[in-house]
Amino acid sequence: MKLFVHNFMSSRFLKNVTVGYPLELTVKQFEEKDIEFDRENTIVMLDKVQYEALLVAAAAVNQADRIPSEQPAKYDELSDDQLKQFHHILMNIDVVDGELICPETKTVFPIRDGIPNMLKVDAEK
Amino acid sequence: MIPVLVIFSQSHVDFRKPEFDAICSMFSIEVNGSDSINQESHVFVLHFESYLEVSKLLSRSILIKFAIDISIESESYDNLYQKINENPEIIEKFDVPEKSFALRFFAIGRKKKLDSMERIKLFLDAVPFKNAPISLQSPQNELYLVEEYENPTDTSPKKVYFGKLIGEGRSELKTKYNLRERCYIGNTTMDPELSFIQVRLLKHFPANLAMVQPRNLVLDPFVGTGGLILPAAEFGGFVMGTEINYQTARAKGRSSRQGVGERDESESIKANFEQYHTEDKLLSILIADSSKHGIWSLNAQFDAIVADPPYGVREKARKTVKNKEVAKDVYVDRTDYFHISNFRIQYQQKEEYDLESAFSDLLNLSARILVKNGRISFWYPVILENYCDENLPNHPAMKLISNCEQPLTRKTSRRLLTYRKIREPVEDEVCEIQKTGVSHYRSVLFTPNKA
Repeated sequence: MKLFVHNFMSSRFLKNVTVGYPLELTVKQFEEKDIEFDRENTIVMLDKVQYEALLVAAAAVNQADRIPSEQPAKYDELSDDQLKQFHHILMNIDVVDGELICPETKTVFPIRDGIPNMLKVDAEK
Repeated sequence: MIPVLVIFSQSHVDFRKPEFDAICSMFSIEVNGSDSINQESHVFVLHFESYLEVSKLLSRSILIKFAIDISIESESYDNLYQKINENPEIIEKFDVPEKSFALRFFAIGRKKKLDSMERIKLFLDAVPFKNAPISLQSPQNELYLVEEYENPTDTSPKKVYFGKLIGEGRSELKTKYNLRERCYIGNTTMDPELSFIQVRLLKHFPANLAMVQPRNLVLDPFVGTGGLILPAAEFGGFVMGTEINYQTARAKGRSSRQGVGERDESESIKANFEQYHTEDKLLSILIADSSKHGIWSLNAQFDAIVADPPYGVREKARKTVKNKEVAKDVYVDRTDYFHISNFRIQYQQKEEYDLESAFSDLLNLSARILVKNGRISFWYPVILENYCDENLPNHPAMKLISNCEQPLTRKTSRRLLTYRKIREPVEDEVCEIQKTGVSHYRSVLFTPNKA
């Protein structure tokens, strides 16, 4: 699971969960890739991203210092070097082993071999 | 405008025009004569504004075999030779010492195979090339002689064309993605040619390699072994998929290949992407129930959705249910219990997912998580005697833009439906679907024929 995917996921489908976002993330193992950077693409991607959730994800791999703690006003005014840091967080980090956790019910969704399992039976309790 | 001879593959003819239109619209290619494209003939003379536009079209088409810049179009060989005599510059242009050439022959519409060497010899006897060297391997001018027949039994062609090859389509992709050599396949993995056409209908993919490629996000909510997101990744999309079946998502259990038994350790959806060198494009596979739209956050937005929902014939159609609500007659799959590292995890029970709900859920999900003008393309099973266009799923925020049929049996077929999101859905707007037929698909299919 690329770190970016965390930004799109919620636990609102669970009973009695109203927001379910952002999911808590613990990362036991991750891989770092070197995927080609493209300025425009990174901006398009960032426009879809919820910033607080992105900070949660970056912190989970201890790389929150790569990106500003406040959301930049305009992504297209950032330098290539700044955008490369975002690109690294979004695309280069593959979570191999860890957990996604519902912020309200604390239901745990395990990530194994890079595949998160959102079906766990505890989810319905 | 330049007259170009476009030669199509003879397979999947129902998909020919939609694929052609989708590519032209993607690149804003202006074509005169595209209305003449039909399913009966396989070669068409179309007019383009530039060679570059033809090349763009070829770069994305799996159903076009090749395209030829027409030098001469004639009714017979005599007529062809006469035209060459009157306009010797047609051949002189190619017959120069610094340009090597090859002459190839292609006949379409005739049953019996023709002796192409003989045809080429006859042509070169009548039209000698004096200066240009021959290079069969890598000619600078690849010239074509194309015969088109009206009826398979006719002895002489209706039309003879002569011209230079502009380029070939991408039919090699169906070979590259063939299922025999693919690392991980399932029972219902999509035919590679059709999977590329389906992705093509989404139109969303980047215009040309030199241009900036928009980072398209593509989702398959019934991902299976990844057969539909592999072609999306081939064309530059970033892809994601959800799969409800734990074993499929993790590539465990028995192989779909005959006589193989248990699946190999090396099989996985990720391994498929690695096989085609597109693993950078795989965002994630999730084990999740696609009928639960709440797995996606409010900011989640995709550019395109591809899907081949299970019809419950060769793969079970299922969604999760609360365990306590499981009724007696509900189907529970035993393979959903596993022993993992000495402790037992109980997975959710699943029930059969009736087909109408599956398709309305899919359109409702699309209306919510697609960007505006985003597209969804999915396969829809049809019982022929019940089919009419009005009964197709209908969502007020989604517009049906393409509908192609693939016949399956005497009583059934499936249709590849493509919808475009025309606006954000208003609250409480949901998909309407007629309760006619789809839910009976299984029973109709398995009813013995009454002789």
